[in-house]
Amino acid sequence: MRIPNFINKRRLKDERYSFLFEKDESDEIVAFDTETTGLNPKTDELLSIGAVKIRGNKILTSERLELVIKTESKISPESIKVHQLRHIDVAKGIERQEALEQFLDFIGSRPLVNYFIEFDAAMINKYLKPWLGITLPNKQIEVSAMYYDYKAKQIRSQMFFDGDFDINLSFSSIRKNLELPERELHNPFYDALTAALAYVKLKQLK
Amino acid sequence: MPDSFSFKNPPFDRLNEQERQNLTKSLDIAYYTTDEILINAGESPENLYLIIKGEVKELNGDEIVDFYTSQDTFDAISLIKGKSKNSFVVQEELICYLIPKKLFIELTTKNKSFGQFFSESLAEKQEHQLSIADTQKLASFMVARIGDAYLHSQSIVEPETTIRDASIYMRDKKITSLLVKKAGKVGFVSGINIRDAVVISGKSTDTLVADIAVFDHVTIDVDDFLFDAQVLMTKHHIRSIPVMENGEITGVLELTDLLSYISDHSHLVALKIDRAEDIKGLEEASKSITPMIFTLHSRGTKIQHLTELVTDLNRKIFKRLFEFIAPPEMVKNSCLIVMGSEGRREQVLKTDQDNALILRDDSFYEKEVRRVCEAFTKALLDFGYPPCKGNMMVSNPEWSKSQKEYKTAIKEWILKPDGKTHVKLAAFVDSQPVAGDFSIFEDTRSYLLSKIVSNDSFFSHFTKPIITFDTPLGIFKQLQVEKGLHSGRLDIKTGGIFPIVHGVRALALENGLLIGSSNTFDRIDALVEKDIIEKAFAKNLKEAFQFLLNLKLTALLGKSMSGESVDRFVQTHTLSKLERDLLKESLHIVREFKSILVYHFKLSLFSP
Repeated sequence: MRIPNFINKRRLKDERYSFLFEKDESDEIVAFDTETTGLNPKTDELLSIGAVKIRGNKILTSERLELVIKTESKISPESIKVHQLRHIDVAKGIERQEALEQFLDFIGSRPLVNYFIEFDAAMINKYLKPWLGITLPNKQIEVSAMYYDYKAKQIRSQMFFDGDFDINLSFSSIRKNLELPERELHNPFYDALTAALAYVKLKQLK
Repeated sequence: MPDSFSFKNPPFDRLNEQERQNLTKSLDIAYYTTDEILINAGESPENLYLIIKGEVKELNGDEIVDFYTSQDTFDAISLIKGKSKNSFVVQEELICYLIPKKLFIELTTKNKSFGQFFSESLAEKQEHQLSIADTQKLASFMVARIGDAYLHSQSIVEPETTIRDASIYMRDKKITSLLVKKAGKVGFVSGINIRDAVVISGKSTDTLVADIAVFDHVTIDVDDFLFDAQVLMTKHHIRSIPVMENGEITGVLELTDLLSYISDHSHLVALKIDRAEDIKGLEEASKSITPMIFTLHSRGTKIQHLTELVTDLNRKIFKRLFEFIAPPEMVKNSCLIVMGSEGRREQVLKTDQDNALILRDDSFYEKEVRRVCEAFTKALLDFGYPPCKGNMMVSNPEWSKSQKEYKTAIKEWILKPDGKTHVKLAAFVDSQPVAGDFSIFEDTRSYLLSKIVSNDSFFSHFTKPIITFDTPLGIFKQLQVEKGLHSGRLDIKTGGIFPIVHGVRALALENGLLIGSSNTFDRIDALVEKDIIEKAFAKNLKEAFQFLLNLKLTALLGKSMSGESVDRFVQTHTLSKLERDLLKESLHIVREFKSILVYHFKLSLFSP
C-alpha cells in the first residue's frame, strides 16, 4: 500500500532530500532493477542496484548506475546462480548507505520503471524508512501492465474478441514478444536496460 | 549492451583497452519505429549508428542505394564529411547503439587503423580499389616485354612468292603481315604495302613480294618493353612491327596483340584458337582460357560477359578440335552438339564435358567412329575439361550414334519415364550444335518435339524433381543454411538454380519452344512472348535467376582461383548485407515459381 505523497513528505527527516518531492522537469524516466540475497523484502538484503535513464526514445546507457553493495549476510546459492554475485564479489562493494545516496541522487524525482517494480521499490523502501522516514515518492511504471494493455488492445482489435484471454506476463515472454535482444548477463543493469527497451518500445507501439 | 558490446566485430576489434572503455562509457541505445527518418539528406548527423536489431535503408531520393542490418554501422562518411548525401530510414523497427560524433571522430583520428576501416569501407574504398586496379594494369603493361604478348611466327615466305599468293597465305593464316627472306635479309610486307603496290601504284599481282618488301623496317627486340612497341607504332603510323631476336627477325607483333594485352586477353585467345594448326596449338590456346577468366574477373568484368566469352571460346575449341580429329567426310555427315549448361551458355569455367555426336546414317565404320570419339574426349581431358559424371560424352557409344538410333532413344526417354531417362532428355533438350552439319541436329530436335506434344502425363513426371528439394528459405523469409558437414552454407544449385532452369525448360518443351537458344533467359523471354508467363513475373524471375547464377559462378570462380575444390555451396556469412537480402528475395521468387509449376503440372499429386 503506497502512502500518499503529501503525508510521505511530512515524514521526511532530512531536508536535503526534499528534491525527491519536487516537480520533475527533466523529461526523463529511470529504469532500475535490484539484486537481493533472496525474494523476501522483509528478511533479504540488497546486493546491487542497476539503473539507466531514458529520454524520449533513447536509453542513455552513457548515464547509468551500477552499484554493488558490501554485505556480510548469507546469499542463497540459488540467488548466486541467478545474478552471479558471489560473497567474494559483494565483499568488494561499497557501503549500503553510500549506494542509496548515489541512487537517490541519480533518480531525483523522475518516474521509475521496471518489471515487477513493486518488489524493487519495497527493497529500497526497507532502507529508506528508517533512514529518511519516507518511501520512494516517485511515480512507478509497471512494464508488465503496459504490456498487458498493449496485448489486450491488440487481441480485441484484431479478432473482435470479447471473451477471456490469457496473456503470458513473464519477463522472458515479454522480451520475446517484443523481440528485444537477448540479455547476455543477468545483473540489475541489464535487467534495467531490458525493462527500458520494453518501456520505450511499448510507448511507441501504443 | 554496453558491457556486452561486442568488440569482436571489425572495426571495433581495432580499438585498444582505453579506447574500448571510452566507447563503452559514451554509448547510448535508441529505439526507432518503422519508417522513422534517422538522417535527412543534407543533414549533419550527431551519432554513428550501430545496429543491434532491425534494418535501415539508405535512400538517394526515392532510390534505395543500401541496406544495413545487425552489426552494420552508418553513416561514417557523413560524420567525417559533416553532411549526409543520402537519407537513412528505418526499414524494420530498430534498436541501435548511438556512438557520439565527437568520440567517433576522435577515435578515427587517433586510431589510424580504426579510421582507415571507415574511409576504406565507403565510397573511398571503391575509388581506392579502382585506382589500385588501374595502376596494377598499367604497371603490368609498363614492365611487360614484347615476348610476353603473342608473337606471330611461321609467317616467313619464300622470295619467289607473288603478291597474290602472299595475300592468299595471309588470308588463310588470318594475319595482316608477313616476312620474306631475300639474300640473307628478312623483309617485311604488310597489307598496307600490298594495297599501296597493287591498288595505288598499279603493280601486277604477279609481282614478287620480295620486290615490295621493306628491308629497313623499324624493328623491335623481343626483350624490349611492350610500351616501346606502342610508342613506335604511334610514331611511324604502323600496325605491325617485326620482332628481332639475336639479330634476326623471328616474328611480328601486331597492334591487335598489343591492344589485347592492354585490354584483356580474350581477343588473343580467340586468335590463338583460330590460328592453331594442330591439336597441340589448340591445347595451348584452351589452357589460356582459365587464367584469362581469372584476370577478367578480378578486374571486375561482369559474370554475364564472362559466360558469353567462355561459351564462345569453348565452342570454337570444340569445333576446331572435332575438325582436326574427324575425317572431313565425317564432319560433313554428322553434327557435334554440346549439352547441359554448356548448351545453355550458363557456365563460367571449363565445366564437365557434356557432348554428343549425331551421325547422319550408319555408313561409317563403327571402329572409325569410336576412334574419333575417343580421341575427342581424350583431347578435351588433356585440355582440362573434366569428364561428365553421368558419362554423357561422345566417348560413350550411347552418345555417338546415328540419327535413327537417337530417335529410338528419344521415344524411350519419353515413354518410359524414370530419373535416368529424364536426365538424358533434359540434357538433350538444352543442347546446341557446334560443328558439322547443323541440320542433322535440328531434324533430331524436331522429332523430339513432335513426340512430346502428344504426351500429357509426361510433364508431371518430367517436372517432379522440382518439388524434391525444398527452397532454403524459412517461413519468415530467413535463409536456411545446411547443418552438419556443410554447416553455414546454402545449396544454391538444388535450392535455387535447378528449379528455375528445369521449370523453364519444361515450360519451353511443353510449348514447343525448342528452336533457337536454349539459354534460360531467352526461354523465359520466349515464354512471355507466348503469354505463358506473365511479363512482370518474368522480369522478377530473370532477375532472381541472374542473381543466383552470378552468386554461384562468382563463388565458383573464387574457389577455383584460390585452389579450393569447387562445389555447389555458397557460404552465406561471407555475403554482404545487400547480397543476403537479394538472396532472400530471389529464393522467395523461386518458391513462387515452384508453386506456379506445381499447379500447372499438377505436381500436388506427388508428395514431395
